[in-house]
Amino acid sequence: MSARVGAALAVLAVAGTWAWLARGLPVLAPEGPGSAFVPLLLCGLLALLALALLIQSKPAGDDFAHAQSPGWAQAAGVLALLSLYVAALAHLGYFLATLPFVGITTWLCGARSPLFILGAAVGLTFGVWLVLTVLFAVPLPRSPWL
Amino acid sequence: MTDAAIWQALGQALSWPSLLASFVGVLLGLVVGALPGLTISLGMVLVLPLTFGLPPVVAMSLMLGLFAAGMTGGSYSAILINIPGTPSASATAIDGYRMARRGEAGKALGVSVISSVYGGIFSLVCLVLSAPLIARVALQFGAAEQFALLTLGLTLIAAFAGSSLVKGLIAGVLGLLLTTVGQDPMVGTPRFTFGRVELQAGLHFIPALIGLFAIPQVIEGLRGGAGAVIPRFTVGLTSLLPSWRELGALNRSMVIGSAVGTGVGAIPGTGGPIAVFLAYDLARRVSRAPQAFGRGSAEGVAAPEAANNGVTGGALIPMLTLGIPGDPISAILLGVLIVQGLAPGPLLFKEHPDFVYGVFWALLLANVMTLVVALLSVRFIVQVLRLPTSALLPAIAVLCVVGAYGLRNTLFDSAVMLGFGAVGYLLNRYGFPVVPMIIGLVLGGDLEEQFRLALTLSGGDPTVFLRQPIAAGFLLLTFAALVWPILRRAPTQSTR
Repeated sequence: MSARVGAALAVLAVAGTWAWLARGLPVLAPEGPGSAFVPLLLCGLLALLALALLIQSKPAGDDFAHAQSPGWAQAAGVLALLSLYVAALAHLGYFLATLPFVGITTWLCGARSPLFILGAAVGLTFGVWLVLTVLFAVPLPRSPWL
Repeated sequence: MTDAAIWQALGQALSWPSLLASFVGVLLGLVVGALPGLTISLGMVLVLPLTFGLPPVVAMSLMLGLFAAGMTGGSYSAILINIPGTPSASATAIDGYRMARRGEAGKALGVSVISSVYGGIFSLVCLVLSAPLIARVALQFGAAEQFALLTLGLTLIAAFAGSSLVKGLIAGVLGLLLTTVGQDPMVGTPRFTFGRVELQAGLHFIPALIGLFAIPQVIEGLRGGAGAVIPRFTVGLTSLLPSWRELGALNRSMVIGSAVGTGVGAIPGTGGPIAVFLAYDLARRVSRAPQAFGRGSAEGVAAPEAANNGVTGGALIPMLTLGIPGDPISAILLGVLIVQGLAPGPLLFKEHPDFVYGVFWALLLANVMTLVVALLSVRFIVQVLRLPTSALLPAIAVLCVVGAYGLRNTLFDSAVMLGFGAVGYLLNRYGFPVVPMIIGLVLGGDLEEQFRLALTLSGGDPTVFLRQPIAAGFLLLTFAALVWPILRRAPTQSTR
């Protein structure tokens, strides 16, 4: 299955799922369109556009070429790391979650000196806290047990 | 709008917090603009959480400083290492780098800074003169006209944001679809909330903005390991300031660049990268020395640099007067306004004239500050070009996550931000533009409300959109925007 067909089917699936989710909402109300009117209209439009994507001729310099390049597994890994960080923020709070996260990401960026990684983790963690919370009063997640 | 509002706004713009915010914004803008791989949009998204607790004019001073100076900073790497710091500096590299290779790097940077400020102030004058008039006209619009105008804005952006009209439209409609999450704007019943309280108010578009802009860059950077290292620049910086005589010779190019930049910036879906090449081409055509273009002509630096800063004021025209952001940067600025509890659009001019004038003064301040800070600091700021961009990725990742959290003090927003990040990454990989999705997320709520209001007021008659001449005109333009890319491609394909 080509990337173009895959993308078109994914868009069709989104439109179908959204329309299915809207099934309990009124399409029309006594005073005019109901809650489901616009979502269903958009689902119809999306389905038409997905079909257009499916049937349109391949343009010069196909812009789906990038989809076939490698790196999906690494991208999923980075996203998982970011999700873990968000989960850790909820359970450990800002400082305990951010110190190891910055350490790991600095290592992923190519740094290998333990001293540099430690310095980056401590400096960045406290630097962001200083700027956001101390200077600009933007709150950061707190540890539930500290 | 009264004289009192003008002077009150001047007082706010010249207060210490505003001056400091503008200075910080300009400094950050020059750095972000200079670093290839970091866009102005990304810089603004990262700074966004800092504005949550600031007064509106101070917040806008920070963001406008970053916007204006970012455009200027983009020329630093274009001139010194032939890699544009931002897409809007692409045309500057053509002649700027050749000037640098000829030993005139300092002069090229000086011309770039002065032209940028010239373009910025030119566009500000256009903004001040035109915005109140447009807002006055827009105040007369009813629901049908507003729906048609919002549809036109979104369609223009979808049509011109990427290489494929269909992909742009899909991204835009996906954005619109996501705005249906939350309470029904007319009757208040929950839709697509899955029983979650956090979704009752809908998906806030600030986490979406952060996710769509920044997370794909973080994923790309981190999955690639150490990442690309920017080539070192080896040219020396001589005198920065061109002589008065040299400046006089550049006047024509600067006027052309400023006018093109302002005009293009005001059209939704266009922006800096288009403006700079149009300005460059036009300046070459009217130049007394067109043969020098492409060989290190100062005019070739002045025109695109005036154009990309001309875009700053131009982009604010539809954003402030109609509530339609024409590009990602004005979508972020619109986000700042929404967080501050201000609704962009014609009513802003009626209800908060002091804020509108505050924005005008803040943009003037940003340009003056850019001139001073850029000329004084250029020798230091160009040193950031020695930094590998990947060194900033951990900081970007942390700021994205905690910035989304800071909006409403909930990690749910951080999770939403990551979700949009994943969507943004997928869109990028499959060649879908993300900008229409962002604009769809921004305009979706209003679009649905005005559409349903118009139908309700007309008793469900769909011809209401065609019976109002202004609405019909906007819809005709929308149709033209949809058909034009197809017609434009047709002869090319038939000859292939």
